[in-house]
Amino acid sequence: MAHHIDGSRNSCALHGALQVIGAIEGAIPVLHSTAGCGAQHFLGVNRLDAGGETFGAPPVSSSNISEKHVVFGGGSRLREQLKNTIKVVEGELYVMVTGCSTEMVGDDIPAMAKEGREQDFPVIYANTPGFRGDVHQGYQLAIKALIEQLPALGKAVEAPSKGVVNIWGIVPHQDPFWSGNLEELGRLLKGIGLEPNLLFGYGQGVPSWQKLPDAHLNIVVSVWGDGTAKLLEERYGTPLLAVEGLPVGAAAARLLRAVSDRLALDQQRTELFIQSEEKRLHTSLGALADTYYRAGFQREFALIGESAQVVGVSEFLTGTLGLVPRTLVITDNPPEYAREALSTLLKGLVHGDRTELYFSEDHAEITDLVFLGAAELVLGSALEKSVALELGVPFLQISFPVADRVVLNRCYAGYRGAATLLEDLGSEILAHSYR
Amino acid sequence: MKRTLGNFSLDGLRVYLGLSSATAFGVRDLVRELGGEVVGITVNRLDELHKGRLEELARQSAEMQIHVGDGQPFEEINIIKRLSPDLYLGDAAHLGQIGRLGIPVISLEETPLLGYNGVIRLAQRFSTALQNRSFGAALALTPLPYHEAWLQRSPNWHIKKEVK
Repeated sequence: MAHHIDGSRNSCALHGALQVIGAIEGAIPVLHSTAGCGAQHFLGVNRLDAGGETFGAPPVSSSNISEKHVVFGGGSRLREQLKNTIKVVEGELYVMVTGCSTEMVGDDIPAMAKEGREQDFPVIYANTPGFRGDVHQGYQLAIKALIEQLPALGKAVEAPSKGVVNIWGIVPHQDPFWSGNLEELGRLLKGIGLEPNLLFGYGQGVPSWQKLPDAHLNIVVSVWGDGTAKLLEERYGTPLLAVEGLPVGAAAARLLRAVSDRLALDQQRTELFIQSEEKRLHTSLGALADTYYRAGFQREFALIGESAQVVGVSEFLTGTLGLVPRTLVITDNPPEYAREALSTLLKGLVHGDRTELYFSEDHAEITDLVFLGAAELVLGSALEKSVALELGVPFLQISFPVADRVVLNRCYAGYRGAATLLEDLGSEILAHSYR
Repeated sequence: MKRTLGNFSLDGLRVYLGLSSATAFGVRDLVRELGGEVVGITVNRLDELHKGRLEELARQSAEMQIHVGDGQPFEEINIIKRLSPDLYLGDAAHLGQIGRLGIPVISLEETPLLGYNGVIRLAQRFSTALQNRSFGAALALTPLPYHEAWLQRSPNWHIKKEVK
């Protein structure tokens, strides 16, 4: 039997699409839906993503349809809204996204986009009603629309650059550290001689998206990038490389070696780069060692987050930091085919049978699981703060929603991310022991 | 307490203690009670008060290494490297150096030991430390600050040299 979800953290497809468009410089979303949809995104996502809008963007332009438009169709309302948005809001690309009501009514969005383009406006669209799924579906739908429709705008692209690789699978804002994580992965790939195409965040605009076909490889760091990479493989024949999760610490070396192998890069350069990065991280570990033992960092932990993050962070915490996973909760509803691999990987992280892995997005259920697991440290979203308090253990907010942290450029991916995670987690443990 | 501990045991494990004289002997009893063997102890000082305990120790395990030295981690590390215990329990400030030897380390500085709850807490720390040794392995990649030659020498070597 279907049941309601308490405290959903996966919002809806429309919101995922808004997050994709909002993370591309110069791309302006035009929302065709009821008035609540944009406001829900503002209240339920923007206010809880630890840093607000990527570019301090204006409030989302929305057709705000009402009963009249549901009965007679909202096409003309959207036409008016699109024209006004283009005149008022400066942008290079306008992306119409739809909500549930307009999709149920059946407004002809493709025709509207075509009409816009015929007047030389850079307009594309994505059908993103909430009933098509959650934020992760929206991420994929919006990206698919960009891949399929951007070439039709036919803008001149600079001469193709060498060594371009695209990175997929980090959902802007759903991963509160998306921007920093992308930049860190980019820094690492640059270190082995590639030109990373991050596609989202600072300096990533429409030209980055026009570079997509030039890529030699699509790197996928979560299951939510699979579809996109496959689409690009079909369209442009670009091979893909998927890793188990967000690479944190030593896992980054695995990624760099795999990429280096696949693209036949200079192995020696790759190894030297990895060596210097690892040395820096190991120096940090050495610096932390006395504090680590004194404050008893080595504990059982509970971790609640999206699959890629749970994989990456648990692997680092167990594989390098010596912690022991007790309760792991994956909240992003990964497809069935991915669950078994996740389970094998996560349950095999340390010897012993005390690691419990759950798939749930229900706040009440997650709270119960974490409480029963009685871990000595909790890493999760703002929704897990109360259960950590109840258990009386240190707590670090690392997954969406994030209520009382500001995250602008912080990252938990790569080598820098590993050191940052040590700082943040260590600070929480120390603060707790002196409380 | 027995129920909480379950079948937890330190059976067959060789343990080294680096504690103040006041706690070292008590913790040694506890380790033995849990099935472990204490192979060496570093204490900061010894005096008349500990005479009885020392005699008892000499009777029970004459082989056991006792190292007296306040703030002499270079000697302690020399001894530990030689003994290569399975577990180190200490409350000193240089635990990071011992971790670099790849030996699981438990600090008693912030782990209250008294009473039954103390034992349960300590047993939990033991389990976690023995279950996952990755931090020590990562630390071991950073070299020790001591010359290899020193680690090959007797821990008393420097004292003899000065006497001559």
